[in-house]
Amino acid sequence: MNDEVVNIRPCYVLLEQCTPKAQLALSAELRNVINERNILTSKSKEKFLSALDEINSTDIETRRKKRKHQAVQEILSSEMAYLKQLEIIMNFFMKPIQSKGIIGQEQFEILFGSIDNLYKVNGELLNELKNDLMSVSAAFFKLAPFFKMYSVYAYDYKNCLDTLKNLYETNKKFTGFLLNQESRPEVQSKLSSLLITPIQRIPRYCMLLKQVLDNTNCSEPDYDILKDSLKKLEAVARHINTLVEERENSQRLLELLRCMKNGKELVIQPGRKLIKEGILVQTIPKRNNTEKVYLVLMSDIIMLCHIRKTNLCMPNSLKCHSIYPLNKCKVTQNTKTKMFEITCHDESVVLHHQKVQDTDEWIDVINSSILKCIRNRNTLRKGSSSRRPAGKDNLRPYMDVGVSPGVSRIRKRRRTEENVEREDGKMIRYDDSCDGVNCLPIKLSCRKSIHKDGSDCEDRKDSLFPLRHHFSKEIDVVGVDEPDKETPEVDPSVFVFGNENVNSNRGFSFRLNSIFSGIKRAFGFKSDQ
Amino acid sequence: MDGIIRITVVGDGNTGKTCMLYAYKDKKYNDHHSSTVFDSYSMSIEIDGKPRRMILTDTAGQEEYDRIRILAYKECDVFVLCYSVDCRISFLNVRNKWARELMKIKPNCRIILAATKSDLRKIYNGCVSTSEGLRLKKEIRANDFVECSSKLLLNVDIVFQKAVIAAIHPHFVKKTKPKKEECAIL
Repeated sequence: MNDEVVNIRPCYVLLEQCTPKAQLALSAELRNVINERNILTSKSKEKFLSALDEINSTDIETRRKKRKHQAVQEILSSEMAYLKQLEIIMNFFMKPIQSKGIIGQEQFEILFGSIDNLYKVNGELLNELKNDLMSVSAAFFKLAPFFKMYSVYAYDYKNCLDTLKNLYETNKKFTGFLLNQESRPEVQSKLSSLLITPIQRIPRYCMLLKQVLDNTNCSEPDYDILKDSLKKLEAVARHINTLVEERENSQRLLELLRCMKNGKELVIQPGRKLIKEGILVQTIPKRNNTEKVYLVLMSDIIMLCHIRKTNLCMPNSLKCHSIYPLNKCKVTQNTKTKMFEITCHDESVVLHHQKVQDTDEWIDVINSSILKCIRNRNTLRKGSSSRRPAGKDNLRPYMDVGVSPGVSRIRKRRRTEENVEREDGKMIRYDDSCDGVNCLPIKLSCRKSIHKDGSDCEDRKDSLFPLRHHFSKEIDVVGVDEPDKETPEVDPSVFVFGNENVNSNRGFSFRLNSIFSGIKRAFGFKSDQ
Repeated sequence: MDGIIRITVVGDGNTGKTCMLYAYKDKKYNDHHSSTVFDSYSMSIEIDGKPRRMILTDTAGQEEYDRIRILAYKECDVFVLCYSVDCRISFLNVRNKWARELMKIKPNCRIILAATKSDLRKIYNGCVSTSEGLRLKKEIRANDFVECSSKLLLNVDIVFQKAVIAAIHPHFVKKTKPKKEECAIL
């Protein structure tokens, strides 16, 4: 109680300006009397004093300070409670399990592997908080980077839960132990709910810090650090969130893979994410009937599957019948029939959901995914831009091409485009050995790098950029070594692997050939000399 | 059923979830000092003469982090889904966001729909009415609907009593739940 009196005291000075003195004296007198004499029970004394405090702290400033103090106190008390929970896990579960050897070391690591570390980090935080209560901001600022540990924990949490469930069902000794420990008066909680507390802790820190920040004036010295710490913690929370999301996404993709009868090779691709999936009704105008299809929207393709079994969790329940590259898709909505059509080149499909609301949601999701896909493609190494929808008969080539699925439509025309570019006098020559579809991404990026002026080559981040940059430096060195020969002006932006064109600087290219052939071989490019 | 009933309170931010939990736990409402964090709280209750354990969990602060939130759902028997009567957005979010999310994670989960801050009806106009709440209850197929006020300590106990009832009588509840259409398993 005494602490509180000290804290409140400054407000008396503030209040004197506007409040009558007599009233003040009374409340102060009352307080003194109550504190000096033991006339009330502790509960009513507390009540009385807090009521007095309330009268005193009519001033906004004082109230704010009091609230801040309370918020800080809450951080401390909740931190202690949290550490206690971690201690319960350690003392009542980890230690006995390890000493009795109830489960294997591997499973133990999965279940409790990072609890120790979390305990250490939070023990440190508590020490910092205890040292100086008002330096909450500094304590969090100091320890914020270590909270990344929590993302490791969150990432493994699902695995941990599965292991726990598995052990619960198979290991009788473990089950008995668990039931016994969980009903102990000190524990009184389930291990699974204890294990989730670390994950929920970070958002709570955000809330607690926000509470402190809300009650801090921007003129106070710790305001900026407080704001920074809050930002850092929010970033950690978001990081945990995205990690868990990615993990779930990839797991769901694997599950989907298990359900599919064909086209398994198509589903998992680097960088591909599952966005939405679900049952939609397809209208087939030719046969004038409808059919349920399973639509899987991923970050770069739309996959349409036939439903072969009612239980969609079973293996072989889905059969993929077409795949549309997302960047070539268009969605047109028919407001009358409440349906939407996905068009991709000359293929199209008319779909709707049983609920109108969900149909709209699907349209929104697909449209935004298309936009995102196109936007992402602009900054990414590209697959074939001429991907075509693949149907029943030509699913096979879709599988074969790997990175850039789809049947190339205009391979011949591209050849003519190359020729046109060569006539510009640039040193472009496409290595013939790279003609396979697999090399398309490299080809495309080469072609893209040609600029008529070639001035801002540094800015262009194509797939070969770092390499090319490196090479252009080497070329300079060669030029200095032999000044008698004309130093060729090499436009680094147009440098490509393979032989240079005949009509440009033959001598230069011969000299470089010896240097590059080794490098080329190292990168696995065939030389056709 | 392993004797422990786990109740989780969900709903939009600022609907008074934490406050309701504190009101139930401490049986009092403190206007001047409201805590920010409610650590999960375990209490024993007696049902049909048998002692049972009840664990209350709060999800406050996790509204923005959907994946973190979802992790906690698996460990739960009954959800108390909150909206506040003075905030229509929180009411709409029950249908658009929360009920969907719960159904997706736990298709057969038991939900108690709770309208919080019912004391504010007297002060503000345009609050979400009782009949609207009842309609929503039917729509999301919640097990029960309670209007409560943590400030007046009104009906707060009933919210949790109904949650316990829903947890221990799952079969009774299932009968009243009409099965309209099959849910897509996602």
